[in-house]
Amino acid sequence: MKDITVIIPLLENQLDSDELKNAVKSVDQCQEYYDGKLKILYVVPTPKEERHCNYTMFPTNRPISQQYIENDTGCYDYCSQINFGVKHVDTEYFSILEYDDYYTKKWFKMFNDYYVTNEDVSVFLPINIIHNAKTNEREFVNDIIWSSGFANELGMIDFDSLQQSGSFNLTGGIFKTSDWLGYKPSIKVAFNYEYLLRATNKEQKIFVVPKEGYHHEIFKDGSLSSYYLDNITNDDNMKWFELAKREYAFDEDRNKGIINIEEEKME
Amino acid sequence: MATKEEVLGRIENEISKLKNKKFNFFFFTVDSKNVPSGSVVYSYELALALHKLGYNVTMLYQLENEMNPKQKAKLIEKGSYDPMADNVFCGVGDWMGQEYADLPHLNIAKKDAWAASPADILFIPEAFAGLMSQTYVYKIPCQRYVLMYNFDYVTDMIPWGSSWLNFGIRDCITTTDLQAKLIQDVMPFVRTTVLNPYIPEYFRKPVKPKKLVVNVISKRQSDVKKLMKTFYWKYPVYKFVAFKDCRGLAREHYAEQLKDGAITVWIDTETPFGFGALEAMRCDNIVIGKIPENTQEWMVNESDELRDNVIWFDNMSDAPDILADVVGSWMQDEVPQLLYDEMEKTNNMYTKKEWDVNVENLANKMVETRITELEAFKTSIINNKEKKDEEK
Repeated sequence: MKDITVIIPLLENQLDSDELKNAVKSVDQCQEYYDGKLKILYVVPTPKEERHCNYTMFPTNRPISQQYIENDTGCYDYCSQINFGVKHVDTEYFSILEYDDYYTKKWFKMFNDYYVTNEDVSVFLPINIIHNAKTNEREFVNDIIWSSGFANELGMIDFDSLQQSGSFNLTGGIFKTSDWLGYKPSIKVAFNYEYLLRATNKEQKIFVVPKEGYHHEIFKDGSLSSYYLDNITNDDNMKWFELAKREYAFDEDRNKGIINIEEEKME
Repeated sequence: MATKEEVLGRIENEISKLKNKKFNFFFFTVDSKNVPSGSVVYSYELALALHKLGYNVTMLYQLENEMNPKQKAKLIEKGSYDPMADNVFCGVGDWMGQEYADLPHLNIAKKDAWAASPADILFIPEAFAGLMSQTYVYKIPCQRYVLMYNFDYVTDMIPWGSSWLNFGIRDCITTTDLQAKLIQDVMPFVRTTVLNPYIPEYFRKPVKPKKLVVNVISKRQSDVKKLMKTFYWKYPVYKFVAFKDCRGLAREHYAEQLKDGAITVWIDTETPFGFGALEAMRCDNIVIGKIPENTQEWMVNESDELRDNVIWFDNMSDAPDILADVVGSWMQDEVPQLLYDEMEKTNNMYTKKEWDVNVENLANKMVETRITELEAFKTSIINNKEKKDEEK
């Protein structure tokens, strides 16, 4: 079984939170059902004040290596944090865990069940259970790829299926480190979608394991999704997706915001 | 008129045919017209097993004005050949496989097309009361066995007031103890031999992990529709769950479909054996099954209670709820281990190895019985002759 690094991107105020404790606990539980080694890589912004060595190592019941790395790039948005973290991954696969989310206890075992006959897959996504903090409702995401007739192959996200839906979530997913293409931090809202378009355009295989693997909280006060909900209009939301459809063909982040799209149209 | 010595010589010849596998096992069969059926499978499987044991096997069918090979070749050349046409014997090749289609077949519609000798053994499907009657009236000299797959079919075509006794039928090969009991309850004179069917080896655990696909095995399309629609209405959260209808598929294709899916809903309350559920279990599917009218040996434990190898339900309206529970458990990898353990035990039943041994024993028993009968006949002729000689 493969060793996997779990990247947890953090901001200063999240370092000692109960949510983070819970997220780490879920990794610990996963280790019980998974024979490969899981290790945690916390990505924190370079602190304003020196606090090296003061980082909390959360107690776990199984031996799990925990390491903090400080992002010194000056860019602390979600995408930049992940990009920074991946550069420090020394395992063949890694996964992304948000500090206020958690894995289901068998997610890594489930991944392995499907990995053994799908070694050429670049990204294994779980079916995520979304908790809407505002409405307290739960729903699935990534599940649509299993609907009859949606994709060319059941469970496999391909370029065609992305033309029909952009609502996929990559948190909890397990990525082959060598196939990682990097997020584009300039693309807001639709950065996951842009990543999937770029990856499938490069003929990478993205597979959704038909199992519940990850609990993802949305619209919680102070979260990125809540910020988007409050500050980005539906119209702008669509523009970000439109931008993703234009940018996926480029490997590098061209820093084209949605305002640029409008300007280009005007010209 | 033949002399007694000639008769004795003929009997000796028939016994020798039996001893040297020079006789024929005849199977009367119907044209399935590419519609898979358990009873056709049962008889073809038996025929093939006997053929592989070195016996002569011939499948008999009756088709007036059958298209001859030349006509067929012409139509194929023109591109207008229709294997489903009324004058074509379609056979089982497309859905059971070439090995079965290649067994010798004979159309007995034409006069004198077929002859049987006392050493031969004829299997007649349970529904064919007409054939039982004809072979009796015309004194076909061979030994006749009814091949009873489903007791329910026995009553379909038999005339009012008749029983197998009227057709001189006393022997029956059937699938389970329960089927044997059902026929003996109404026709106590019938000698039954139970030959359990087997589940072919291409129904097996797949190498690839399962897809979230629900297979539905039911003879009626209305059941399939009812299950799917009510499930989606009640559980819109599971709108992504794909269903596959397993009706009318070629056998190996059907096995592949079962292997692909994770869960099978099996609705066949009139089943005489429960092939569908067993095949699905072999393919590592969790089976949700409607309790059949007659429970089979593999369904119950020593106390006659339903076993935990299937998730059982009684009422069709409960099916969507149970399915939703199972989908949920499967997606969380929380299906109880007990179910898998019971499935494993069931999967060890009805194996090909067991079937091969049972068919060989059955064939030996039928041959020995026939030899004993012919020997007894021979002895009675000799005794009669001696008695008459003494009287003289």
